[in-house]
Amino acid sequence: MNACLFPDCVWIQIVSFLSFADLSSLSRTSRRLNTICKRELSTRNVLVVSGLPANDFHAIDERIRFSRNAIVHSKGAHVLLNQILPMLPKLTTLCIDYVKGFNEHNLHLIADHLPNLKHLWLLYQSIGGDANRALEKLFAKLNDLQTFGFCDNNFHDYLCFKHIPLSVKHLLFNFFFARSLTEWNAEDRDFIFDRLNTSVLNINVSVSLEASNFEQLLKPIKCNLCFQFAFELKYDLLYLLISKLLSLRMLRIGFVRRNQFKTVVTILDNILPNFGPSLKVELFLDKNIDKTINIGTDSKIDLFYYDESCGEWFNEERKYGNDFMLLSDLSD
Amino acid sequence: MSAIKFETSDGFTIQVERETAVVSKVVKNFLEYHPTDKCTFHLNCVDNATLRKVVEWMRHHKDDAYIETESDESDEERSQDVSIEMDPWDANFLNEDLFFLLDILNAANFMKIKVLFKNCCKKIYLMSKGKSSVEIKRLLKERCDFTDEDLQRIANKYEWMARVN
Repeated sequence: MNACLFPDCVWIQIVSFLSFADLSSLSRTSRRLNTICKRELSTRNVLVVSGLPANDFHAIDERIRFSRNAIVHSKGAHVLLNQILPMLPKLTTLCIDYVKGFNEHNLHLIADHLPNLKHLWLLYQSIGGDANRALEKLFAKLNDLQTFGFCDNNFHDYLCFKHIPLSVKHLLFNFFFARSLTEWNAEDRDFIFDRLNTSVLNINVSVSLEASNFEQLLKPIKCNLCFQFAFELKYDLLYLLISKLLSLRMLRIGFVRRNQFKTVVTILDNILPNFGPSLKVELFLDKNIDKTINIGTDSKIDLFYYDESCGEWFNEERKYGNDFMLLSDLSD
Repeated sequence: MSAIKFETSDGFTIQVERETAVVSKVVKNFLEYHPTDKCTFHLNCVDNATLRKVVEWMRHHKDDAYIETESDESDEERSQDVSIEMDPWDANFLNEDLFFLLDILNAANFMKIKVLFKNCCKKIYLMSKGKSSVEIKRLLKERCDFTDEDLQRIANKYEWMARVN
């Protein structure tokens, strides 16, 4: 049988697996395949635009990953806004990572192209001009946004977060900004705390912070905590942080190195009896740790090992870690 | 034990046990509305060699839980399910040349065997992945009906999607 005799439904399925680059090649094959590729673009709902070198996947963390077929290399904000987004009107998930050219006058245009956007990540995004104003204008147009992730090492003034739409249930950001909390006036700080309190909060802690800020900020929040050791592991900070978070529902720690493993498990074993049985704990182990390392069978801790063959972390039962994004209905 | 017969496009008849045959949604749906112990399905676009291959797949997967629960999916569901992971047995089973693979895919589509259909699509995807439009045309024996100007216009339009080395 010749491929050109296939009904469209067969091609529609095949092109759904294709990366954008492969779609570009296939669209130049024939008019019929060009039409099918155009249709595929108009139905795609996930896009990752990255200014970083291309990989087989794009990871927000160990669990939130975008497949290769969703990734395009950045050509800058102008191309994204004027060429890419108009071709992808059905996008509901957009991750923009290290894309140059956004400023207070154009960031909000993302919302004009994608009024149905539900999940947005702005990672290592340098925003020209008044960044707070840019984000405020963007938030004003995204009424259905459910997830907002933000990470910028140089951005410490988070007052714009006052304007995050109430529809947002997942806030994900690195806690670089905790240091600036003490500089805010009490009214703004209370507002932020109140806003965070209505969300499931995923936190990537990747820098050492003053313990008082942690306690102040996190104590009242029902949250999932994702604790990443980008730098030296501070055991006392880990202990303090977790022991104050009695409303914690899920704890993920990674990546734990071999020489840290025993201490981390001991800390957790001391702390976990204070929590109810509903707390889920996941330890993501460093890539070079194999399954010879383990813990007692009665432990609440679930270990995740790296599988080199598919580049993913799995537990003993060959399952992924819990999806933080699905835990949106935490009740009192 | 009741059995179902399939008649192929090249005149062969293959008898298949009922629990294997119902892996095909066409058979399953028919038997739900027309309960019978004996029945023959005419597969006008599936030849003997292809059907034997498809039946082998159906026998291997007849007890899989997902075969029972699979349903027709919308565009949105399809576009969210883009994992190219495949059961290793299936990956090995589908190590065939492109044109036999296309025959299997066509049979899976006709008989509504969704997982086999998707896995054939994944295999074809893996064959075309990373290839230029000229290589794809050669692979698929597709006739190009574009002028040079058309091709340039499309290349410009999709320049943002181009592969970065």
